[in-house]
Amino acid sequence: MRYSIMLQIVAGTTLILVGFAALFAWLQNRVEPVDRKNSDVSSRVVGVACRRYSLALG
Amino acid sequence: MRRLLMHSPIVVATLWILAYLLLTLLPLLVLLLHPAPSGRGFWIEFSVALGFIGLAMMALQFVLTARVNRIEASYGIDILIQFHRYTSLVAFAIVLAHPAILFVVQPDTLELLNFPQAPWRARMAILGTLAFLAMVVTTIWRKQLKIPYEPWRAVHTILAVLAVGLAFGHAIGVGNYLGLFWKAVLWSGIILASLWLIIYVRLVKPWLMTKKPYVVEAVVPQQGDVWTLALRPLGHDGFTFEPGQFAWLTLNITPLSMREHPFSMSSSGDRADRIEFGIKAIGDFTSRIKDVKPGTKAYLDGPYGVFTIDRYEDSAGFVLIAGGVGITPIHSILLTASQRHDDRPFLLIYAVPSWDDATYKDELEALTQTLDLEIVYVLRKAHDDWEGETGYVDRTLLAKYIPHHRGSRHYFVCAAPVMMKAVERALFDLEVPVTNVHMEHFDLA
Repeated sequence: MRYSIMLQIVAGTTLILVGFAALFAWLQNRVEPVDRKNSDVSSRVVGVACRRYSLALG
Repeated sequence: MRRLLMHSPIVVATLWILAYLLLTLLPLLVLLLHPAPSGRGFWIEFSVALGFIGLAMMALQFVLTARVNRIEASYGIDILIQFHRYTSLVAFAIVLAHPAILFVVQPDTLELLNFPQAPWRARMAILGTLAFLAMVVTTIWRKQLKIPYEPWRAVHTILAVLAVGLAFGHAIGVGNYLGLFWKAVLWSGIILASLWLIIYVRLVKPWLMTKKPYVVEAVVPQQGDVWTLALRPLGHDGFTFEPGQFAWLTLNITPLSMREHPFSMSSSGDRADRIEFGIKAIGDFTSRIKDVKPGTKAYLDGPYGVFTIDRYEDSAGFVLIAGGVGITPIHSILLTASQRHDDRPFLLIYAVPSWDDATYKDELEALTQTLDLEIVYVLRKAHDDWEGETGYVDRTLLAKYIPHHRGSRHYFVCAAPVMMKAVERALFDLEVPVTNVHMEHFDLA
């Protein structure tokens, strides 16, 4: 009985661990495009700033 | 902690499980503090996450088996060992799933299995997995493979260190995440803690034991092919223990050899000056006990175990169920209770093959004079004029003797695994609360 309870506990913890691994993988992939978008935005901002700077110089 | 355990073992179990989950997931949680790497896709990240979880689970096995008193005191070594067995299998499955996902998602990674051509990080992964596989096989099928306990234990330790060391080496070699500062700090901490546990368990603790030797005072034959081994502390005070507990015994060799065996104490828990063990001659080591000479040096690591009535001061009484040499810790419980003038009722159900096999028979009869103790002997082979119980300790027999208010007592069962399983099932069927049933397993190997 105690061992079958423990078996259920181990099964439960395994599900939590594997579930968290899936959540982790999802988070890492979800965060990544946001970063890229941010970096794209910042590069566009830099680009705009450079154009303005060259326009100002020109 | 003890009162919490007594009144709410489920709360304590939940806390330990949460701690286990937190420690296992900590490496991944720390990763979330760092920015995510460039997009590698869900399945690659999932595989990496499983790899880290598998490695953390492998490292935590050292904690589970290190006989850490605080953890052990909550549920007992047998429960921890069983948890260690189950979680090791889960860790092994997770470790296998880690590369399997990679092979499916990126079939070119299959080339990493080409051992001579593979980079070192892949070779370490292969060797580590093989060490883990060897550990699982030699543990599950140890008896079928006829591997003696002592060499198995030594090889098990070596394989465990190899598996974790190689897995960690593999993770460093891959270096996807371990270059991150907090990740490196965390994993260094985990690996150092694991190394310390190995050094402590295998070297420091045995060395401390050599400072507190014991000497064999007597070896006394009992009925049922059981021998009482009496030890006296040599140059120190010995230890008192909670009746029902056990200790690891090393006899006639240095504790550094790690050839130790667990035995329940049969003497009074309050007597530190003479510690007795009831040992039945059933194996290589136990069959030699009768030949041990008084004066032989011995070493003890203990006491351990939670199979004791001391944890249940509020219980109205106790039902003790013993099979064969399982009477040993129960004898200690009854003897100590008698010396403490415990006035609560005790019911002892004692199953033995025959009347002549009933160990401590005279001592138990003497205890009925000083304790509120009822003894029910259950003989498998009874002589003709036997009027007591015969057969097995089953549901019908238990229903006849245990109190109507099941939850008013705590139940302690110590017997061979088959009997323990049957009794546990019968008690469950008789609606005895599962938290009131306590069992002691002999076989920790």
